Formats: sequence, structure tokens, C-alpha cells
Amino acid sequence: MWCGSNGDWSDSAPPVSSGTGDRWSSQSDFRRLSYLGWDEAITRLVAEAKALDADGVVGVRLLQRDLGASIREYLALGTAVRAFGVSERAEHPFTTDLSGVDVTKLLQSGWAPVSIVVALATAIRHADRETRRYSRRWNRSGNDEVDGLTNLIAVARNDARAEFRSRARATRATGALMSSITATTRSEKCDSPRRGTLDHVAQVEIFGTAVTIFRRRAARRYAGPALTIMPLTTRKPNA
Amino acid sequence: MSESTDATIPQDAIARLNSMRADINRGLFTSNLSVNEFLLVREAGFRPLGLVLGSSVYHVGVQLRSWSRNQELTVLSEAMYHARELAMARMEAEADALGADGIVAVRLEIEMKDFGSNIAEFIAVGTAVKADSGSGVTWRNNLGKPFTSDLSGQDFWTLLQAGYAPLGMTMGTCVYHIGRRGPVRTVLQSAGNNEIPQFTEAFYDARELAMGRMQAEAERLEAEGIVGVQLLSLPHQWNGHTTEFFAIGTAVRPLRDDHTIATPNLVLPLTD
Repeated sequence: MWCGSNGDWSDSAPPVSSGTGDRWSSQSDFRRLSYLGWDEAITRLVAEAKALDADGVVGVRLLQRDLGASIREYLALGTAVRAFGVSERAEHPFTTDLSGVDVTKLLQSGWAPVSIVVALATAIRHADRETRRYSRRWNRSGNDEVDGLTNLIAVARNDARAEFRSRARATRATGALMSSITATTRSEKCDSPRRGTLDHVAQVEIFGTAVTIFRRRAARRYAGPALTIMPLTTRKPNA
Repeated sequence: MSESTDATIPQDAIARLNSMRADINRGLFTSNLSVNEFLLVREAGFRPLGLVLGSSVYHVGVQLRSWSRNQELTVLSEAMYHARELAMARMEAEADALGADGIVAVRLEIEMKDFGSNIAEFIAVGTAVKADSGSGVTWRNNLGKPFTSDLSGQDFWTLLQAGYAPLGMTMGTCVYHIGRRGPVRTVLQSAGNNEIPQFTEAFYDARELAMGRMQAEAERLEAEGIVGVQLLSLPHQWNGHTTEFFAIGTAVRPLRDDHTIATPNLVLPLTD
């Protein structure tokens, strides 16, 4: 992969991200291929659920594995469920990475899961004087924010969040609950005409579930007010 | 510590936030809330607006430390504090742009990055919320910023029920180097049960410094107290003699005079 600085080698050149892929398409290609993997896995999961006459799939786990030689396995694994006393089946079963317990709580409060949402983004940036200095093993510099890298990760995260939102909106949901956001970073040799230099790469993945409201008025009444209980077990804060 | 509000949000982020505002009117929100938190935050009378995030990639400087003496490593303390501040300020700026009253379920994380040695990403992520209209309470704190809280949705709900409101997250940090004992004393102390005063003193000192700094932040917010305090010792990637003591909690203020809640029901859970 080439950093796509597009001839702009100045230290202030902005990162190229999958969202600005028209400038250098390798980043958006990468995203397209990863989406292909996830979407295909989820489509097959839904097809199996349909074959079982299911109304939805709960507790979906999304796993990926590197099989070497540029081969990746994308795996979507969940439990198909069917509602009692439903005469007509929805055309598309819902999918969610939430547990059965969580789905029940949502349904009782007038919300329903719609679909799993996967959002990906990558960004790449040519090393500048500052990032090169910090990459050296024994540098003696003081405390400082690394502007170039902060900017790189901010752009990648930002891109992923915009994707997450637009993909959630595409499911006609009213909200999206994010279950994880991870950023992985690496530095790699730049293949550009200027040899011997580095590129910094950031990749962001977001997983979550899009939810929609279906019973606006009755919602509160149905679930009743929350019940204050005092558990006898100890619980860590933020657990 | 330096007071940085240099909240630089990239240009695309501003565009995204603006389109997010339009989305809110159409009723789409994103959040990092769990289902429990989401339902309880709604129950408490707040509407989630969107996921907000701030991040800073920071190079932590180097400081020489004495072999045998206990000491605070001020360069490292300052780095850990300043980088977190930058991330928090950026997250707050995003929430501000969304017109939020506050940010709930804030998580602060540190991830070491393999861009080079001593480089870490500091991240603050939370969900911006707005109170349903008609409560007549000003939710912003005395600094005019949206309130922040690292309480879980459950704790947040309970707090509001009892007539308290969160003001802001407060934190204090201290990176401390524990002096080594020297061979003679190590041998002498290795035989029997005894206290190792150098370590005890170091832990005391460092915790006190961290908690004192957290308290000073709460005083600046004119808080009544701090709840949900976590006192962590984080070794990060330093050697065994250097540790960060980190105190973090949510400063609260009273909303009304009586603080009674419905009598809790006693529950015997069937799970362990």
C-alpha cells in the first residue's frame, strides 16, 4: 500500500482516509473488501435463520481470524429465535449482538432491535519530522502531544463513526447502540518514490445494533417504572 | 498542571457533528450505552443525542529517577494528566457542538500504540444526552460546560432519583517511583515477616497526592462531594518500581433538600 500523499510530502499534508478515498483509492478498496467479508457472513446467517422460519437472531458474535497468506475468515454466529403467536412473519429477521435478556428488556420498553451494524475505516499518513523523531527507540524528548498521529487517529475514528451512523440510518432505525470501537495502528515502510520512509496507518472497527421504537405511547406503561432493588452481592463500579 | 482547552476537532468531525444535529431532529442517535443504561437514562428523563469521543496521541517524556529514593515523577504525572485533559476537552467540545446538557457513561482508556516507544493514545468516549424539556433545571456546571459522569446508567439513575446531579468527572494522578532497598537490607528483610516501610510510605504518599488533586478539581466545580471513586494503580509499561496512582470519580451537587428514595426491595438473586 502506498500512503497516497499524492506528491504532497509536506509535514502538514492531511491523512488519506477511506472516507476521502477519491484522492487515493487504496484505502476505500480496503474498506470495501472488509465489508464484503462481514456482509457476506451476516447474509448467510440471516439466510439460515430464514430457513428455520425465525423472527430474529440474538446474541450474534462477530469473529475474524487471520488464516495467513492474505486470507481472512469472517464468522457470524448467533441463536435464531421465533416469537409465539405471530401469524405473519417479518420478511427479514432482525439480527443483534445483544443478549436475549437485553432484547427482552428492549421489547418490553417498546424498542426493537433491527440489525447488526458494522462500520470500518482506515486512514494513512506519511511520516513527518515529528513522528519520525518519536519513532526512534531512544529519544529523549519531553512530554508532547504528537499532532500528526492524533490527527490520523481522529480522522479514522471520525470516519468510522460517520459510517456507523449512515449504515444505521440505512436500516431505518431510530437509534444505534455501539458495543465496541477498536482502533489498531501500525507503521509500515512507504512504497513511494521517496524510499526509506514510513507510513502510519490507523484502522477502526465499530460493532453495534440499530434499534427502533415501535410503541411510542405505551412504552412506559408496559414496562412499568423501574424497580429499585438492593442486590446482596457486591458489585464493582462500572461493572 | 497546564490548563489546555486547545480542543482541535478535525474539519470532517465538525461536518459530521452538524449532520448529526440534523439527524437528531429526525430521531437517530448513536450511543455507547448498554441496554440497561439506555433504558434507565431514558427513564431518568434524558434523551441520548449521540456518541462523543475525544482522543490524543501523546509522547510521554523521559525522567531520570534516583536508584534508592522514593519520589514522584512529575514529568510522567504531568503527561498522564495533560493527555487525559486533552481527550476530555475534545469530547466535551463535541458534546457542546451537539447542544448537549451532559455526557454519561464516560470511559477513559489508554492504549499503547506501536508507533514508537512511549507513545500512547488517550481516549475519552461517552454519550451526549439532553434533558427532556420542562424540568426547569440548568444541567450545565458552573464552568458553563456540559456535565460529565463516569457512572454507569444504573448509578446515574439512582443518583437523580435521590435528588443529586452530576457536575463533572474529577481526576487526580501521581506517577511514583519506589526506591530500591539495597542488597544488605533486602537480605535482612527477606527472612521474617516484617513491614517494608519504604514501600508503605511510597504507596501512602502517592495515593494521597492523587486523591488530593482529585479533591481540588471537585472544589473548583463547587461540588458537594465525589461519588463512585475508583482508586487505581496502573503499572502501564514501566518497570516494577514505577506506578501511576489514578483517582477518578464524579463530583455531585444536590438538586433539592430531601434525598429520600423509594424503600429498596430486598432481592435474593438466584445467580452467584
